[in-house]
Amino acid sequence: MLARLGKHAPWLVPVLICLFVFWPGLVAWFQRDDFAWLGLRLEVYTGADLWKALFSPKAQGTIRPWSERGFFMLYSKLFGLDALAYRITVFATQILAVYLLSQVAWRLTSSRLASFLAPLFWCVNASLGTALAWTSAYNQVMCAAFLLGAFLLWLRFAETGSPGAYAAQFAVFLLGFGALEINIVYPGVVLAWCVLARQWRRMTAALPMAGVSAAYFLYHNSVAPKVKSGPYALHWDASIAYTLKRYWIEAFGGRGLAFMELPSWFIAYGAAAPWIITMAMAAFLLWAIWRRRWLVLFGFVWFLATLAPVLPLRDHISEYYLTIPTIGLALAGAEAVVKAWAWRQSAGAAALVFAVALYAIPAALVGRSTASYYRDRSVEAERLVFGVQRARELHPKKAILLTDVSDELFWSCINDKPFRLLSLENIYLAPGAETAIQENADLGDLKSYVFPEGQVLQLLDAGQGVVYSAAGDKLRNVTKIYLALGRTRWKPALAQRIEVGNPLFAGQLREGWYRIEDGIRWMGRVAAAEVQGPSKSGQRLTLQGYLAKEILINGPLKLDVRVDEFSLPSVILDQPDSEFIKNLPLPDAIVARPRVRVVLELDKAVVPPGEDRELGLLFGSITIH
Amino acid sequence: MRFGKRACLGLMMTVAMASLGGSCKAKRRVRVETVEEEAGPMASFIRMSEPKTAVQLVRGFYGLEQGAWRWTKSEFSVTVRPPAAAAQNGARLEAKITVPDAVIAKLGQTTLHCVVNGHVVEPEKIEKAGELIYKRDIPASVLGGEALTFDFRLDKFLAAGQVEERELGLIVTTVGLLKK
Repeated sequence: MLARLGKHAPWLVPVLICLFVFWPGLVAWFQRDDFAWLGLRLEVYTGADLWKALFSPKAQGTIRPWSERGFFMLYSKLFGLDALAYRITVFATQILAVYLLSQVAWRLTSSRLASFLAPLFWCVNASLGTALAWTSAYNQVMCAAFLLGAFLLWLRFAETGSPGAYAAQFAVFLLGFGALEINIVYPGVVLAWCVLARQWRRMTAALPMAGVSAAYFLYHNSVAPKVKSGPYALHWDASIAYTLKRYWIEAFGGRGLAFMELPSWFIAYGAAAPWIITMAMAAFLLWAIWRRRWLVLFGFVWFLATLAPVLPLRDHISEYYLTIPTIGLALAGAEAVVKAWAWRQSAGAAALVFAVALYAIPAALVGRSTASYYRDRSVEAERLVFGVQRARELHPKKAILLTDVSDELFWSCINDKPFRLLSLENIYLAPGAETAIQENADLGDLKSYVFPEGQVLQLLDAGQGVVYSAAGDKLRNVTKIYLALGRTRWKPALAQRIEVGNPLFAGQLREGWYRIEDGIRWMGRVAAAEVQGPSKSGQRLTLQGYLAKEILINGPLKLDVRVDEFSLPSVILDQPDSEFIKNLPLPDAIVARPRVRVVLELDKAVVPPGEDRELGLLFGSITIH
Repeated sequence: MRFGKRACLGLMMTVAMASLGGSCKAKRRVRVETVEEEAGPMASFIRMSEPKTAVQLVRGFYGLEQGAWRWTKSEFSVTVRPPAAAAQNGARLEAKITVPDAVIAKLGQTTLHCVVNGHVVEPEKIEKAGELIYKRDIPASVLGGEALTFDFRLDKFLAAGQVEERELGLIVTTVGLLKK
């Protein structure tokens, strides 16, 4: 028994250390993008929807059916919002990746020590703090497992020439594209290994995979939006070297100590450690080149190859992008210790102490801190979401307004619309709550979550709403005190934003609207509403709704919009079965008017088969902002 | 082959563990209670550590940090109830503030202004980092009514992006009216 356990120690011990360091990640809940992925299932009604949900390119052209879409859709179907099942799966995948890394290290070095140290070094890397605590970063862990699995099978093929091993690694490689786009670099990694291991005759076997990667690259390029600005803009210039330097230093984790409450000497030590390690690694690299130990360079090549795709993202440096590249550094570090050990045992022991003191301890501390941060943030989100669910049970028919929502809680939870996952509607920020939150147009429109201040007293006086404070561990009903405060602050006024399908705003709708159907309303050919005029010059009218294909049966629609006595530019609507969002400039003459009448007039409407109503557009919302 | 068997076994164990984790938790449905108690009267003096009174921080306060204090924006407001007999005797406005090193290092100095019911409270020029008690007498003539909103404003502050993504003003631990 002990002998069997001892045989597995090279990967079991790192796994136990990994669990110890990143334990908070196992008990984390959901946050940010998680809510969008969890909601994906709600958009699937047919087989075609499922196909689209799984495989159609999303933001930045990503697909990732296994690690994001399929994973969240399947697990949300099976386990709902119970995060533990998701977290266990992430950790189980990490354990698999650790095992595979141990095997890869063994086959690359034939050293038991390396097959222990490589996974150990990776398992304490700070970048895992995010990957193992935020479910949306599962793609990193899964892709690591695919890359390591494919490469291990490749090494087996290279040793034995087995066609089965080759086919299996090809299949794993292909499946890896469903985890993360980084998978594209795998043929490069294999070719680099062929060169470094002097396995020239195996190179031809890698070429078909290079062809697949090239085809994937062309496809991805054709579907990914060409981003010219913002965090996802690609910068093909000297900034790549700067970005590489930043990732290199971050890879060792020590600098992250600066964000923790620690003695200043230890923070300075953490900041210096990556530079000292850099010097040691450079010395090892030069030694390997001088002694022509080419395979020793493989870890560095892995690091560069798997990091390369994100290097042009100058303005989007994320430490979890290091999850896969640091596997290479772990291999290189393990190899360095092993070589030192082979030279002299005392040198090996010194190298090991050096690695633990300068890398493993600071990195593990930073990684643990990151995982705890994600855990804490997610637990706050959990309390809020289930607190609102409880409030809904207590007040089934009322709008729920939230106040004392922190900046972080808003952007990590509310902004990603978690309440729809529990079918909780009419949840808003209470007017004034938005002042505690920093606006961030890149992340979302904060104001669209705020209940109109001019309507809040009416809502609360009519008993149609309750206000909860999110300041403590539990949501606290503060309706009465908020109402008392509100009387000193808010004056009745029309809303500037009307949710047309929400009965709370029905008082501002005029002629031309049909009854509410599932949170939306049809307009006829002409419909009108009243809103508060713009508060300052330059504000716009935004119309948001949906154009059903049945309405286009007689060709594109022309929508004329009038606001009081002014006609706005006409809008042509011709995209069937799609959402429309139209921003129209408003004349300065209506600024500060307490009430403006918005009239929407289509050039035609239709009576679809089986309907007795003349239908135009589905709304949506009408907003001045 | 051995690897394949192990992989299958691992996969089966993962699914089993995930199912177990999910089903165990599903049985004990997550339930977070709310506090539905009747709101008492508005507080005269607010400690940031007290969640009950957070609703009275009506504008420009960020989330609670370390259970004790909050960053403000450049403009922030708090609504409080005048203490007993304040309409006859007046009251004292008191705010415990911390001025971080970064504020002075970047701005040199700043001034804290305050207005209540149209009454301009004597401002405080802030020139050094550290703790500060902003203490001012408020005359009885402005202390009528059930609630008073104090509007604070800093003439210089750390704009969004200067130190972090948020606009930052001062750190406040307590603020409110005390009996004279």
